[in-house]
Amino acid sequence: MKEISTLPNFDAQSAQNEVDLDRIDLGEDVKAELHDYVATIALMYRENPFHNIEHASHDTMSVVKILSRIVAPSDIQVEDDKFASTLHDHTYGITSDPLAQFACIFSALIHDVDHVGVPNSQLIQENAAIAALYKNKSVAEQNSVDLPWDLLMENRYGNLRSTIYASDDELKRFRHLVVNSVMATDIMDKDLKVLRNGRWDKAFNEAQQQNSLEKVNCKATIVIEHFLQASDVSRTIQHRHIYRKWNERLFTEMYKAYVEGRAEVDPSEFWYKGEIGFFDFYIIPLAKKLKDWGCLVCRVTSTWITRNTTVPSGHPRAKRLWKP
Amino acid sequence: MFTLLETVYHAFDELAKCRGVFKVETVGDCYVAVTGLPEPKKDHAVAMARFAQDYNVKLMRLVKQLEVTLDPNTGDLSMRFGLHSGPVTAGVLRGERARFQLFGDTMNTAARIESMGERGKIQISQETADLLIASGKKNWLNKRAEKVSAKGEGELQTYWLNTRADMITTRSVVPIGDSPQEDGEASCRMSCHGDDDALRKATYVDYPELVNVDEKVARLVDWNVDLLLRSLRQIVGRRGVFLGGKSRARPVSLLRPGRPSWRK
Repeated sequence: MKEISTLPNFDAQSAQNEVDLDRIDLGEDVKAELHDYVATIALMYRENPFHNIEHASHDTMSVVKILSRIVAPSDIQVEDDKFASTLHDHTYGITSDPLAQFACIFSALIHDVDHVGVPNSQLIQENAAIAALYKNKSVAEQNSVDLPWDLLMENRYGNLRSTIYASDDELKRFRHLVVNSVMATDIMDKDLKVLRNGRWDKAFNEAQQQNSLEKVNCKATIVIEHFLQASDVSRTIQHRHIYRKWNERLFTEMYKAYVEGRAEVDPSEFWYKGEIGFFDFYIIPLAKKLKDWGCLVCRVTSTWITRNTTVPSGHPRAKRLWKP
Repeated sequence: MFTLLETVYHAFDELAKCRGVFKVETVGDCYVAVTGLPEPKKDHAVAMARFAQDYNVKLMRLVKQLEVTLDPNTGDLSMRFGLHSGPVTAGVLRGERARFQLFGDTMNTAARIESMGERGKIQISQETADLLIASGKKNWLNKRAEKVSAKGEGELQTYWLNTRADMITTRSVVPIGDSPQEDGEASCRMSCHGDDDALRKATYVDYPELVNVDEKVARLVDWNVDLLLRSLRQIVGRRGVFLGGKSRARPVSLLRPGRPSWRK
């Protein structure tokens, strides 16, 4: 992992000469390779109740949504011709960097590849070969970076690769963004969490902010990581029906693990307490961060968070155990 | 015969290069390849299984093409495949015509598994099957009804690997996950085999379509492809603009105005 990824500077000319996207033909080869690649990724997902290709697709959808809803703060008035430049500055270059955006969507698609349906802690406890391979650190996430990355590097995706990045610098940047983004979805690792929070504070809360390039890139990197985190839990910041649907699937997956002897505690014993704690200590702080930062989607969905936290929901079995 | 083997081996070599499979040697009509060597590969068993499936399809397509120029019976040719995993000793024995070779019991067993197989089918040893099951590929396998007795190995339980064609016709969802295994090597051995009855199914299936996905997954795939394509267009669009001012090193193909753009 790298702490800071470098995003390109604002280029006024390129912003003006925006090409009509529908007129760009990528060529049949690239399309076929991309289709083959995504189909293979889909097959690399296991048939878990929760961590499956549908969850990944839900994530890509959320990332695309978040990316499309990044806005400059409404209190800043800018003339039209300066809008792109202001947005670029405000979003630390994310809005005007298609490669960063592609990396976000790509990361969302691959972030749970080969997930076995139990958390890292269980893999470590079971002494799984994969846990040893990654030295018990963010086991599933590292695996989910390595497998799709190795696949992408296969000879048959040459055209696709040269479309994604055209130089070594771009390749490096793409790789950093993907690694950082997927690793950001490991929210249970305490060390990573402390580091990430520290970086956010360093980027945004420290007094005497310098607007140096490094600072901007630092902000961009950490913001992108938070996009992925928000997308990974997007069920919680969406409509209640969506939240319930995915919450039930997660419960089913964890309950299945318990029945199979791969979890120590029956999830129905802690489900509601756990969910409320998850909202209090993870979702709400995360949404606040993104809202303060200027992601419109989080402003809209903060209402959903409120509603999702007020009434218990979930698996029928858990429902019986719920005591208001 | 010479043209046939030359064409088939050449096609296999290309496919092997593409998939990171290491070709060891050919012995007469037998093609020996290995994964996990010389570079260790976490998912060597899965990689080899996929590779064998592709080989099988490729061969069927090739013999159909060759039928036109070679013997009309060429189209009836097929191969036996045998996959086995285990430790091997590898190296170059110095001397005349020195080359990289693999030695050990694993190689012998692989040869037995291959020779006890059936034409057009991929036979897998218990060891390789265990690795595939550990990678979540249980439904790639069918247990062979009878045990095979191999020379010097006693009775062996083996499995058939579903061919790509089987997977398409049954349309079951295959949960695929390439979870890494301990370092080991899978070796694959195939030998050309000709018989009377033709093996024609799957011959006309196109390669990109061979990935087995059910309808819902197919929709999700299309949908994700669409999102990524749009994002890729932005990358290309931006790059085209950048290059437009400086150089035209990398041509970006734009559709002629008026032509409908590609859209799902």
